[in-house]
Amino acid sequence: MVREFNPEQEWDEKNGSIRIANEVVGVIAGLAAMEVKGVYGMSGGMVDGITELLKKKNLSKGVKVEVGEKEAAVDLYIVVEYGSKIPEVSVAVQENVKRAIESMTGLSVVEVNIHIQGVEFRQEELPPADKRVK
Amino acid sequence: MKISYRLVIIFSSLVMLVLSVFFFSLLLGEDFLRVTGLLTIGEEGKIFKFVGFIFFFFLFLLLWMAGLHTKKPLQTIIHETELGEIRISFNAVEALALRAVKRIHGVKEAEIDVLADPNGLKFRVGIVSTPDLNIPQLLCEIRNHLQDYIKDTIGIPVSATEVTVAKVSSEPRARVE
Repeated sequence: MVREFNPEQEWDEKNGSIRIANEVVGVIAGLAAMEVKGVYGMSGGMVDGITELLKKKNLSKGVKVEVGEKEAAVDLYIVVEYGSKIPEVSVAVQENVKRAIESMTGLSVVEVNIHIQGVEFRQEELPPADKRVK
Repeated sequence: MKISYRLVIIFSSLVMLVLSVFFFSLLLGEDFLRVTGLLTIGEEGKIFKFVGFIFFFFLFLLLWMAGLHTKKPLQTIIHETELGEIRISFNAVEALALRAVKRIHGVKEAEIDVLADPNGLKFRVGIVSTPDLNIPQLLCEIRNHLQDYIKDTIGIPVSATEVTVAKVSSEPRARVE
């Protein structure tokens, strides 16, 4: 029998407490952000770079979270694709991340801050070198 | 503070710890590193003294840089939305503006600086143009294109665009199209 998830029931002291690790929320946020069209990737720092060098996939790269008992706040550092409209992509990321975290964890997302760190240009987007003949 | 500078400071403090323990051991009449014989003026242990000099001088340089290093504040544009903030770094804006300008026919090279203004963004564009072009028309095209592109892509108005033609390239245009 499948028990319906009821956050209020789960937080009841009689049943014990549920704490969701920051890392878990970070991974959910990172994956939700990458689903949005226009997001090229997440922008990590030196520690994330070393983790990737060690061949460990870092699904929470470019994500900082604060998780409380019932609420969460997320900061995402992303690189967008050239040609996409930044405000539209950012709002879409905010909505997708909020939806993903709230549905998977039951936490209430109070804010999703987006930090656009750079723009990625695909090779096809490069203007052709000046040629004498075409 | 950047993590690399933290590592430098941690390593330096460990070296200081070793040195302090060494001097303490000398007080007790012991030389646990077996180096006191080499710490004399003379030809003995020349290589050891040279290595010691290089090591401690390099350590001094690293500590000096770590101490002087100041984090340059990252300039960003901030949009407030219902769900939080959207911060766009000036580096991203510069990259977009540069790409937009370079795509204009007649622009061979370009450099861009972005500044914040109470009325929006201000761009300073320096270009190298191809020869045989109407320069005033090119400058007008750059201003209009940049203004429309930035407003469309980032959602921030452009308050001013200063375009300077630094040089006209000497390479001729293509004879055929």
